[in-house]
Amino acid sequence: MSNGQHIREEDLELYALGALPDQQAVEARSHVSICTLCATKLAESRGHAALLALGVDQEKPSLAAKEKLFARIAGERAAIPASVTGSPSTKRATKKSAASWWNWVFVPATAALTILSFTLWRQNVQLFAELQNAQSVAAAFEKERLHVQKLIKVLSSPQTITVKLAGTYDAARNRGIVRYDSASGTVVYSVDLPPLPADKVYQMWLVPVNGDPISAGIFLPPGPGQSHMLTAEISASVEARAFAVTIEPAGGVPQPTGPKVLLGAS
Amino acid sequence: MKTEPNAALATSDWSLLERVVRKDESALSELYDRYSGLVFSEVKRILRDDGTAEEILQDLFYQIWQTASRFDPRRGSLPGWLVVVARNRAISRIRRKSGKGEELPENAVDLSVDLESSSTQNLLVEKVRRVLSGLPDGQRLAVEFAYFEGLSHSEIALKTGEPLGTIKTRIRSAMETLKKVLS
Repeated sequence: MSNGQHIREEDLELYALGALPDQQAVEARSHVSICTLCATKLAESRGHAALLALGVDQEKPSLAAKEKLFARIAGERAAIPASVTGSPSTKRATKKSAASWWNWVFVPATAALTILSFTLWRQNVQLFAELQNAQSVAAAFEKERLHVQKLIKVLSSPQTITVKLAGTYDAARNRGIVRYDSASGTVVYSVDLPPLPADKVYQMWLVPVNGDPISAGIFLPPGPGQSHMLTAEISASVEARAFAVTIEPAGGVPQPTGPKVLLGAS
Repeated sequence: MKTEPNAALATSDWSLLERVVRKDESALSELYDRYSGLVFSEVKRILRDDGTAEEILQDLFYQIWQTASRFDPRRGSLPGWLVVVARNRAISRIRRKSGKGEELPENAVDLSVDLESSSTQNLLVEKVRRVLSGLPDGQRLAVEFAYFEGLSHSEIALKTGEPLGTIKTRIRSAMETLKKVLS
């Protein structure tokens, strides 16, 4: 379709008229986008083709069409803050517009939508916080459920041994009970012990058949008359010879150093 | 581009468009009154539907309202652009073919006549109608099939049963006649 590098005048006229097949039209469009000369000729050809519009029966659109156009513009204005809508003369022109009554509809509607959006945003934030809180509570319940399930499993296992702990020396009134599942290495114990100074803790020990005592956790004394059930995990398959509770510095120690307050042989 | 014949029109349209840029609705209203009939008649001729024609008309003038700053009547013609873009959008509606719905950049139409006043428009309407009615039927039908129905030259050849070369010649002859009479 090109004469040398440019589009032939005949094809430009056909293109301007919309009579070129799609493929040729695409090629022409591509060339015109980079060729000023052909773009100028095409603009002239389009001008000639546009004259055909004058050859049809001339009719006016309905008045409603114009009203709709300016109502649309009024709607756009209502959505834009007054500070950016233009000069005072422009604002006066707007007031004179036949469509200005639309402002009475769009301004309150926009304000209502803004309030509604803010309210929904606040509700969304509140609901999100509540959801997070509910998720935390659910996680805590799940953790507690698993803990109880494990306790039940240990306490009901035929392999679990029970060791009664008795007070030693001048702590004869102290007492406790240990249940130990060597298969899983789980120690469950409940004790009744007096309060300690603030820098001391109780520490539970599993005394194996062979080797040094193994810590089964530190704990603070329960309140008067309260039992204190705790669990601890140690290495599995350790055969216990005895269990003991000592008083140790806060934070516990790797091996017992303080006085024994409870002791029981398995 | 023919600057002299368009000088008065360009100045006037430019002045109105400058006011539209400043969001002066009365200026847009004046442009609408000046060209809406021309655009509406053309689109209605293509679509034969008042509602859709008014919809396209409204979209075009709303586009002018939003993007008036892109127009420069000293470099082209606002009514020319309106007429060609309206035609393309109308053809797109009936053909749904991507190649037929080309959107033009602003001022991409160099209309060689003055359409500023309604009296001038009326005179030109009469003149163009005389030219078209004076064309041989084959030529007139060929340009009408192309412009108002969006048919390519090969589609016109198929529709009329005439050779492709004949259709091309008829279209070119019709357009030459139109140009000569109007110039």
